[in-house]
Amino acid sequence: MAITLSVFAISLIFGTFFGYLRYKKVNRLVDGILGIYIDVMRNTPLLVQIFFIFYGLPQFHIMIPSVPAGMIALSLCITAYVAEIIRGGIESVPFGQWEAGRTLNLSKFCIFWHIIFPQTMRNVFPSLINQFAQTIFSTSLLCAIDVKDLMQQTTILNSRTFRTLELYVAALIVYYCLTIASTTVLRFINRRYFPSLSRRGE
Amino acid sequence: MNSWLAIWGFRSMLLEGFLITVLLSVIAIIGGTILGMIVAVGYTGKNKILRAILTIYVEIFRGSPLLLQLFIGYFGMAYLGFELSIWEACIYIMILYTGAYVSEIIRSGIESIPKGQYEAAKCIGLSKIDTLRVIILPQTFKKVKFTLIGFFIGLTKDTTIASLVGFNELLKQSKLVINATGYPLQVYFVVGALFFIMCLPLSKFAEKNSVKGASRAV
Amino acid sequence: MIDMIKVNDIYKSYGDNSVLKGVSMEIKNGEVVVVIGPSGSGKSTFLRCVNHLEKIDSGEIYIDDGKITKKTTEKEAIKIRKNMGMVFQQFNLFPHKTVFENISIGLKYIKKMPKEEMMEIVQDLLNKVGLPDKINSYPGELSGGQQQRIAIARALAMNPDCILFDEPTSALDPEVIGEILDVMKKLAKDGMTMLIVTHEMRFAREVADRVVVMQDGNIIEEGSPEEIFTNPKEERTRKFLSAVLEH
Repeated sequence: MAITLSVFAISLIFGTFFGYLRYKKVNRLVDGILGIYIDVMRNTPLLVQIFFIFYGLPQFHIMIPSVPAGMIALSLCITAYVAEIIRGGIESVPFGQWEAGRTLNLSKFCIFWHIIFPQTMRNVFPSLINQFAQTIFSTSLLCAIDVKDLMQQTTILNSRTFRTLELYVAALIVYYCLTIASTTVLRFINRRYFPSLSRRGE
Repeated sequence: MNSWLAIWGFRSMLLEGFLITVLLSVIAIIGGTILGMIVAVGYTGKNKILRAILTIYVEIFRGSPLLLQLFIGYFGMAYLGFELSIWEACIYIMILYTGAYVSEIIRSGIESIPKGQYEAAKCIGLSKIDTLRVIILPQTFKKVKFTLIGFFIGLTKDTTIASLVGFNELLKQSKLVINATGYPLQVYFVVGALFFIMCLPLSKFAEKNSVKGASRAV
Repeated sequence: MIDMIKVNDIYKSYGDNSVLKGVSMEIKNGEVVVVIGPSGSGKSTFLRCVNHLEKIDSGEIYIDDGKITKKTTEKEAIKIRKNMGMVFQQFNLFPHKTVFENISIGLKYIKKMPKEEMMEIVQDLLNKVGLPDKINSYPGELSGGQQQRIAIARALAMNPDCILFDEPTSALDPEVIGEILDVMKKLAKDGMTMLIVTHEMRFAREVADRVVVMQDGNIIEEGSPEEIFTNPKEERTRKFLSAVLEH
């Protein structure tokens, strides 16, 4: 869970930043690189990305222990998804909002930070909640590279006790509770801070 | 250069894995879509017990990692005495997994159809089944088409997870190739590239159109 | 003349909010009845109860030889609606179907008519509503006024004895309201039984055989257009009319 949370936090920060850059199209080169990065991450399997970093890189004598390797792989991937969500969110704010800000002589940064960004967050919050649930599930893949997450622990226990089904069902329940608990908290935040949207229902 | 040549030597193995990946994806997509549609339609009915059962099904499969589901389907069922072959286990679980997500997508689509459409159909005298078949579902599919494609792309990528229970799709095959050649980086690069080539056109297509059609997924 | 529709003391409420408080009405064959009244008076709900889009809480509605009570099921309602068309404020055309498919949908799925026969009927109806060349268009390509005329054609397709209009012009731009009202006038002249909820007072006056004024879930007054518009008996009617007619 600590891995999930930190990965999601990292992804949120970078994803927001990249999403903004993608929206602004500041520089063709930056935009091009970001575009390729996002496309690659979104169109290849996460498991392949994880293996690439954990098993592939040591070929160049870049050895990364399993936990950081897993976190790097997950963060890289989820950042790409978050960036796309944020970009879509910024684009969904009507252009008139920028214009209204300009007529009030607000600075560009001010318009973005105080007017556009809050509306963006409101628009994308439900998608981010989903993304968070996906992050929890993705973390389970790290057991493939020996990260001691819930999934891996279950497998270890299984090899000791051979109570296969009970253990897996227990793990399923834990995952389910984790997912429900975290999305419920996030939904609550959503309703609390973005009331106008949640009334439309998620 | 040697490394690429070495991998080329194993192309038939990788190709076989690739085809199996495609096959598993296609089966899951077709089976899951049919299942998802049935579940979504069942959900529109008034039967409370049926709805509760469907809710539990959808919640479980959407609320837990696919990997765990596959473990339960393969190892857990074997433990109970249901010896499923790895093919069967993976196909069943992937279909159930797909069905849960697809039903949610379709259900949200059905709910977004204005009430007036049902009323107009009622006034014309269409039966419930005809209303769904002729009026509601076609509009729903038009609305959720690109969300579905987006999900299918994710699903295709998720088939790699089946390798972790020992299913011999592309990723599993590639591991064998790595063991034989000793070039993990290049092999994973090839595998990634294969998925990339398969998924990119679809996701670009969905992206372009969903902006125009403004069908937003939740 | 015989009664086509007979409504007997119907009640309807949503939770604590009672919308219809004992409404009774008779509509004769070929009669055009216009229901007017302030918004929230229950007139749309009344209309929707008549073809069982809304369940009634008590009372009865007799239509031809059919009967609606609070126990009427959706299956029974289908039979009753067979002889009754409905036109909505929001048109409710099917956006994924062409004009032809929209109009012929009942003929196809209920009467199972062959295509050539449907073609003839649809073309005929399109001529009637003045849109003969739109047969292959999609609703999204048409203006609001055109869409509503298609919706009327669709309601006519099943050859109903009676048509219900639920504020058919309220969602339209002022300049196209006339074309809808013209189509409706033509229908009235052809002897169609019509029950119309509208805010178009001038139209009510011209076309109605009888005007019914509703307020707060009750019928407060009914009579010929002459009586209602020139010499209303009820103070409440007078107030409502002066508020509407002033501008």
